[in-house]
Amino acid sequence: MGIDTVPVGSCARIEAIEDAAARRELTRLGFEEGAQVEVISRIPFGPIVLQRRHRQVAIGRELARRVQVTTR
Amino acid sequence: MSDSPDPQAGGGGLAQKSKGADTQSALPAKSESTTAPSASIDREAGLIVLAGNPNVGKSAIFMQLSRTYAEVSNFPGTTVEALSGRWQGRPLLDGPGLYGLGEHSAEERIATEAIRRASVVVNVVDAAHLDRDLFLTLQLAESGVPMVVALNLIDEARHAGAEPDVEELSRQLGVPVVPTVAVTGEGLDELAAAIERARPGTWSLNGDDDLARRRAADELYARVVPQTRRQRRVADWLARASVTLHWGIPMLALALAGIYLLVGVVVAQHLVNFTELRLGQELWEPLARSVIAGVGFGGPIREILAGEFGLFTMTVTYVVFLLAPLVAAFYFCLALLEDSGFLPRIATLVDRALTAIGLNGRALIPIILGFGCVTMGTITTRLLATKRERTIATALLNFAIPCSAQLAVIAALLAGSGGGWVFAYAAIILVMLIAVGTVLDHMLPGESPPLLIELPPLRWPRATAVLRKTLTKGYWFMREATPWFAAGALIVAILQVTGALEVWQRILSPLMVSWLQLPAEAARTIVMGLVRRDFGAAGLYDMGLTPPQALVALVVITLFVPCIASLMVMAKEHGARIALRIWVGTWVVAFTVGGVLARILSWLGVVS
Repeated sequence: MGIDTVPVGSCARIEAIEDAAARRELTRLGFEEGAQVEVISRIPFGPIVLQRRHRQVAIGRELARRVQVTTR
Repeated sequence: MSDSPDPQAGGGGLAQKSKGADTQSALPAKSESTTAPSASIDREAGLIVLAGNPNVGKSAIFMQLSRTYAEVSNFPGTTVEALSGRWQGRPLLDGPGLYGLGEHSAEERIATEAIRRASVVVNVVDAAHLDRDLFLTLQLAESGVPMVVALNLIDEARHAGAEPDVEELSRQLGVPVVPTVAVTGEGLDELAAAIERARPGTWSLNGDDDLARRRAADELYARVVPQTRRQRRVADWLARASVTLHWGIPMLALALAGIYLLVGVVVAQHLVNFTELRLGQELWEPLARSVIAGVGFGGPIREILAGEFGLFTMTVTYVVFLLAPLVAAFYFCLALLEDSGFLPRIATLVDRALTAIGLNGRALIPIILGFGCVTMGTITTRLLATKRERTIATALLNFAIPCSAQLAVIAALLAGSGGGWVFAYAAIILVMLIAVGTVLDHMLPGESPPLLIELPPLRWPRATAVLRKTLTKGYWFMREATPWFAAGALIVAILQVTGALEVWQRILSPLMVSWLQLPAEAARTIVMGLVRRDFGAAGLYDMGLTPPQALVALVVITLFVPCIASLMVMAKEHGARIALRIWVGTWVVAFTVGGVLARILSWLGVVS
């Protein structure tokens, strides 16, 4: 499932980032495949905000659909 | 995403090229002409490059070492080009922030190239967010370049109860590590001493795999940073709340209201009233006129120097007593937004809206900078990833974004008419922004990439940093603007003295009077507006326009041609063809919209 479907406040494990440029950038930022992240905000029809260890990134909705995750 | 290169290529080049090589001799300092006394230059002397992630205090360290001003703010991407200075006779370079070595964006290329030339790299890292920063640190340590790590913002890390183990980090990497607080100067002497002890890292990674390096960085982080962390209740709550719609939008509205109150009301009305009328027109202008007359100038020369559009009368009044306070107020607000870390959060909030016009939230940065100076905004469109986005953003900036000087005059003109007129003006400009963006989004081929932006922690802006930034940027702007402004005044004064202004007014008067329903003198502002946009708006100031006329005139002037400096930058960045198209387009759009607006206003029965 895409991380765009994860409810706010839930944690998820990034399994695959289906966009090469975004994968490179997110890996450098510490949101790599295998990382455990929390969804802290979903702007309606807009970006998803992820948090890992006190650091946050915002990713556009289109990209969020291509970030495959699993939740426990 | 269309043009995404292979991720594994990321950051490969440097690591392989310089590994194991004799970096000292292979990397001569490119110190141009000004080198220190030759005796002090030995094998070890040479170029020092600051490298680090965006927003970690690189520029602050640069300023401390070189005593030169570099821009410091709390959002990524403020340093677009490398800044150079000197430290103890050695060339010192501050490149743009980067998350990893490579060739994937203009900033990354500039920074990577600088690091390649360095004889010593000072890797500045954010001690409070070391997990992210260690990725680049490991890449540098693998590359074999002599390096030092400046563990900056150590005060924030201590405060959070997450102070890294300096000795362990140094042992793991094999290079000196120095805790610093760049803005206060803490640890800077130790850093200076450590630069002399810089050495290549002993870290090595099998292959050049981003994911493996990321995992190694995470392991190292776990080893050197205690995993318990103190909660910062208010800051953490704010950081989360500011990116939700129901808290973020009110915060944004509050911030905008505050800016309007300061720039639009306090400064544009009260302060400028005092400086422009009392200091400018009542004190300075009579003085200038009597001095010019006293020196013995007469006739046309006197008119040009001290007449209605005189270089020593009107130009000085507008530049010093009208523009300067307003421009400073604007840059003050911008500095607060930048340094607090709020700007990328606003970018997140508005991303959805910007995707509708073919941009993403990141484009907010050039657009907001454009409200300071369109020329500066146009230059920073470079930080957008694709040519498509850069073209759209440049067009928006040059069609519909008023710069601070223009905004200043607009605020001064409209504020007296009441909030309704300000709102109408803002609404019309917003509609134009959307229209231009939508048309370009449909016209230009391809697709724009999605948003991906790091959100820095929220911080209290530091008073000294904010003031210094306000003054430096305000000064930069005034220095750039004043010659053009004076040139415009000179042209208009000459036109007036020779009677050409009358002719011009007569030619344009059908357009002005019948079509736009403005006084014939408004044609002057069009001449001035060709040189500088704000100059055009400034010309309206003394014309005694009614509120509806002011609205029409301001809309026309806002949509009208960008200033000459912006035109030059556009031609340089995007080619003469695109620049010329945008320039001609503004003529058509400005007069069409202005005329239609005048019709609508008289149809609505608003007296004009």
